[in-house]
Amino acid sequence: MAVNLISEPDAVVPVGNCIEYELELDDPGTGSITKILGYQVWVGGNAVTDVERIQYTGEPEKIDISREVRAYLATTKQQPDVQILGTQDTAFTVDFYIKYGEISFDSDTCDTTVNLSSTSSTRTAINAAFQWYEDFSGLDAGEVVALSSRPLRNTVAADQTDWLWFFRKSGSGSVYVLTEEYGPGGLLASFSYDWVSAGAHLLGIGPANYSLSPALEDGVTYYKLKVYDAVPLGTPVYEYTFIIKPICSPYVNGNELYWLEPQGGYASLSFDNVRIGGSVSSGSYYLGRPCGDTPANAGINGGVRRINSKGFKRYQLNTQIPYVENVDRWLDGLFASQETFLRFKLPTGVNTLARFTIADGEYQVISNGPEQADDITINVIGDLHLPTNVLQ
Amino acid sequence: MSCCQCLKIKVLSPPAGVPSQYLENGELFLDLPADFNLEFSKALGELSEIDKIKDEATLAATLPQTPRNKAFFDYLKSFTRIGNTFDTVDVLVMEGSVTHNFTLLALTNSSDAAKTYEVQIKRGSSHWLTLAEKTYLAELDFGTFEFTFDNIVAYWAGNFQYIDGDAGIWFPLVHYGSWFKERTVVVEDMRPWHHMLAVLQKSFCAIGWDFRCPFLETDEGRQIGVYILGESYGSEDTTVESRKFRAHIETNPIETNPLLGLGIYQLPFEVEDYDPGGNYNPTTGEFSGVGIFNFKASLDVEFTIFTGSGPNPTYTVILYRHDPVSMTDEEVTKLTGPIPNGGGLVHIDFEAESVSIVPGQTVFIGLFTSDGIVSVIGYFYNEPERATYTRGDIIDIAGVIDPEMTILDFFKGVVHLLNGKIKTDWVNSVVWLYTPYDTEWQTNLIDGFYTDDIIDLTAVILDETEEVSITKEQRARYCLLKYKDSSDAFVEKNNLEQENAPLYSKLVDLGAGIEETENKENPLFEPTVNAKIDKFPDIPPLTINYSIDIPHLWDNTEGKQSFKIKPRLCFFYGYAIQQDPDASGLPLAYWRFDNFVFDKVPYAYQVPNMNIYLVGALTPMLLYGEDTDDFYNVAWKRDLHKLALSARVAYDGLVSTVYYKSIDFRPLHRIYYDGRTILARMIEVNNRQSCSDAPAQLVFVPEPFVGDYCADIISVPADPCASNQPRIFTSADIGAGTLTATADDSGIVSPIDTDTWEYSTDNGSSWLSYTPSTPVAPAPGETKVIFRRTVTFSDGCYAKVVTRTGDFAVSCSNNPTISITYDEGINTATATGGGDFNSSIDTDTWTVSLDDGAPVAYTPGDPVDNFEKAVFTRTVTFTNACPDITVTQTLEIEPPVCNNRPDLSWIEVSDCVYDLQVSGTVDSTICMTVIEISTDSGVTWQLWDNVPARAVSGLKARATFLYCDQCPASFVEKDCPLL
Repeated sequence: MAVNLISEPDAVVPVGNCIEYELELDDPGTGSITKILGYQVWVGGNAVTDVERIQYTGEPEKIDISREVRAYLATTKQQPDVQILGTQDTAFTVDFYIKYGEISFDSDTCDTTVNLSSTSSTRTAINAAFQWYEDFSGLDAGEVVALSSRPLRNTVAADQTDWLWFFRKSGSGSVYVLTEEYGPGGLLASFSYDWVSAGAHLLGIGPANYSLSPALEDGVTYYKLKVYDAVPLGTPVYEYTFIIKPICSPYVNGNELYWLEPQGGYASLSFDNVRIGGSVSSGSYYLGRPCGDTPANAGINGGVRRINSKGFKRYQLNTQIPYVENVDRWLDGLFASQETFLRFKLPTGVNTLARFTIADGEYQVISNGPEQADDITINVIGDLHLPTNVLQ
Repeated sequence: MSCCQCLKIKVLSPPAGVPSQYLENGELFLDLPADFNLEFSKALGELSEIDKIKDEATLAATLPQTPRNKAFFDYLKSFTRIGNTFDTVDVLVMEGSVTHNFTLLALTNSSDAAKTYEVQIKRGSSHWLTLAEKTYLAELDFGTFEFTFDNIVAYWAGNFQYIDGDAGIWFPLVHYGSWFKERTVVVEDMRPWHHMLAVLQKSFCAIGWDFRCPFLETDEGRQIGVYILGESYGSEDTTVESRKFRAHIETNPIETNPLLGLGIYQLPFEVEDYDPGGNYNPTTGEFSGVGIFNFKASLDVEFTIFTGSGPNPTYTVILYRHDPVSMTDEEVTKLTGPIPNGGGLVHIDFEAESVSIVPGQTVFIGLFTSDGIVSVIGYFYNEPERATYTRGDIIDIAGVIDPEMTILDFFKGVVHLLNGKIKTDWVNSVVWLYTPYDTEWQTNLIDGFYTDDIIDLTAVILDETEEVSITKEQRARYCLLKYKDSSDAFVEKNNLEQENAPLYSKLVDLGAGIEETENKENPLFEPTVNAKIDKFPDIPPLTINYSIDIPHLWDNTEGKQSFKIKPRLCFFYGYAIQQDPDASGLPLAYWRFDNFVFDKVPYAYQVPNMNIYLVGALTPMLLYGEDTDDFYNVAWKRDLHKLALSARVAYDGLVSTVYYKSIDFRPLHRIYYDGRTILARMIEVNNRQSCSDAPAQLVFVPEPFVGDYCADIISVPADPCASNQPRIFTSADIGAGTLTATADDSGIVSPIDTDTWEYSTDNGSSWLSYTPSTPVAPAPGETKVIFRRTVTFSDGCYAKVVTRTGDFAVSCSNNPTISITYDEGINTATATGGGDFNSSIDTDTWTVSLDDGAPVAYTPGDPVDNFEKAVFTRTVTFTNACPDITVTQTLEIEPPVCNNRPDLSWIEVSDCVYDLQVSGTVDSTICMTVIEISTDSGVTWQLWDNVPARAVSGLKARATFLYCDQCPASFVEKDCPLL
């Protein structure tokens, strides 16, 4: 004579991978009483939906609340020049649960009673959507999970900004990070060790916003980021290598793209070649003027005027990097992402992010033969749709 | 099916013909194309131009012919399946966790060539609109009523105003075209009228919904009644059959029958052929069934001519109606015919039409001749024109309603009256019917649909999507609010309804537009006219009697009972003494009911012709115009102002599933767009696509600015009393803990007659007299005082009542805080208090809970240690009425929790020679200990060489303990004890 909670999500779930409950109303009511199933979604301590109703069907009902929870999650965007060390991203996680129970209607009194007296366990959603081929069961098991599908070996520009988000379920321990900096010839120049607590944290890992100590020294040609889930340090859970690509010439403003990866973190990619173009759109009208102006005035006052004029900056970005395993999957996330930004240098010299709309693009693996490693070329075409103010 | 598929259509009862491999755990989910979405539209609930209730709809959708879908739809479309009626199928449509109210799937087209199925997702069978559309009122159970004199009279005084749960009927005195008796109204002349609110409450309840209507739930709203009886009222087939009879004369007993008068014989028809109701008495030849009948007789009479009779002898057949009260035999119908000279056999066919019989009355046939009757044979029977309910019958209160009328038909008629706006509360299964705006009717302040709450939609609206349409020149200039065209014979006979001026209508001039008139006609109710009748002018012992005013509902002008009466409505004034407004003071009107004389009348009207004794003229009148309390002023006027402006504005907006489902058309919506802010009422949401980020179209009608109300546009006199707006100011004295109210009369135009103040400290349960500017303390534990002010005016303007709640808590500004200092190395926390207060603190109580243990008393400043989680709680109470405030501060330590208290001691090993010894307690593993000594009072230090040191002036030692975990290093410094 109740609503039974048949199943509920894991304690930690990625919001993009289904947050499903299964409820069963075991009693349709008798006599003048008609019962239906009721439930309400609560996120962050607040009810975010009305009481939803499902009539009695005699079967368990599956309810996916991921769309409702998703509205309350975000990954915090960072300005490019800001160094970030282990900052907790509180927007990245949110607690949720459902209240459920019976809604009964008494046809004798015409009264409806809403009794959502049962509450499911409080669960935590993270702002991530793992791919079908990715196993994210480690999230709930308390493993350290990098919120990125970037390859383990990366090429970064010397002035590039980049971040890496990690998540570990609360109560599972900390995330330990060891950085190693290597100079010419692969000599270990320095190393450091740090740790962040459980939850979602981000680290500035690009050469331009490198946040770990000691700072990147001149002459470092590559550095490694080793991530551990326990001390004393054993085998790293992740081991990323970042090969610094020297800046051969001043880059055109806007050679770096940032995008929100499906796994929840932001990543960046620096392009070697940037072509910028402009496009315009406008309407026009004839200024209604009587005949009779002098030729000089007619030249000033007469003729067609533009209206509703808009200008856009179009970018064609191109680069080539060594092909490594998984880089294609990582780039899939770039082309699919709805949150894409271009690094934009303000007249003050400070960098900021400008929203960028990818219009077209591709990547292509180039085989260099059996003796050499393959490369991958990446082409992206897109627009800055920030408005161009027009003086009228 | 993918788990995270956003839109799911689940067939609730999978047909047995769908193979099990297409089911998932016994459930059937239809295959949807990757780009599938349903397109939803939702509109403000109201009556449309074509008398439909606007609500919510989806567009048709196309499903692919996958094996699973094919298995399902093959079952649905099968021609060969016995009993296949191609009905809709119950489904559950879920978008994320949101369940949609569309739960019926209809297959509209199947194409094997295109490999598609066209389907329509419709409102579900649990939606009140679906149920109301297919549920007939007459089929419901509203209970029964015992049709007796006593019950009817009892109802007159007590039931003119509907009380939730009562029978919901009343019996006004109404002229239905004829009366059963000439000199008195009888029980059978009375018919039940239904209370409008009762019909709606009971019918919605019957379909699983509650019905609420602030207008109809006022005292006066509960006095609105409707005539919605079916044409067959009281004349159902079984009743009619029970009133039939047939009898014949088998022998020739005429000489033994009583002689009614000179030469008049009562024909006996002593053999009963058919009398299922037992209404015929073969002994007397009298029929006593109640109703309206055609009587027929066929006679073969052999006459003999008396000697001395004059020329052209005749006979007369008479149908008599015997009344037991007056003991009279009334001649109802007569037929006179010739008797052949010399006498002989005459065949007579006799017929009497539309003869009404009330209880106690009987009819029989008499035969008159001044000559002789040798023999009579023949038969006598009736053809009931209709039966009628008679005293003692049990009336099925719902069953007598027009069998063709659905709940929705009735509802639409009511919606039109109120220009109703509908809100469906899905959670509590309540359908609310509102007038558009807050309104005042008969001193009732009635909540309207539209509220002044403001929801800001700026973040939802997309730039450069505004579309404004102004239809001022495309729509009709005039709007005619009216009842349905009258089909009433009384109205027609008296030429009361003109084509251009329908009864009780209101013609509104919108100021601009095509010179045409748009009819806004009530889809159900026709107008009802009251008229004075003087049917009973002489009621002994009173010799002077005057007319009474009652509704006339006729379907004929031939003096017959009327039953083909279209739905009507009246205001049930109640049981009262009428008084002719044309004749000041007495005399009063009297009437007779079942031979009892009454001065009070169960009075109903749409527009009254009488006053009420000691009361005067009556309100309200149930008409669209012209009266201050008519439906136009109460419900239509302000809404038509918006029509006069004729502007609609649409924007594209991002409408999430949850927002779409919960869209409330009641509040104002504020939109900042293109540098300006508009306030508007949302009326539609169009093209919302499920599981899509694509924008939907939001349509608004801008809310007219008060300056837009131009009396010239709408030809209605402004309410001169509306400007009187007495106000109340409240203020709080924090120190004294009191609230004070003062008057603000700047909004009052009329001269004040009386100004009465009251206050309540129990949320309005009781009121005490109040003198403005007098401090009042809230009740213990409460912070609020409600002040009420009733102002009457001496220029005839109606009184105004205003209330204002003073809330002491609003003025309280007390913010206690807790500050915690934590020593990480030794896992010790200390809490201290702070904060800002504008009230005097009465008590300040602290507790601390360690590691989720029970809270224990805590003194600020005391250290607590050895924990992973500490919760400090501080409760501050105040000497005034400001509410108590409790604040908590939690300190949660992330592992490792450090509790390292190492110590360093000087141990004297010989005279003036000291060794160093490490002691104390540590939880962490010490990775490294560095001990240094100084002989110059700490100016310089050097590593200790593990050799005891001789005490010298300035000898000091210090130790640094480094741990293998994340705990901070510990540092201890000690002077040599000898020094």
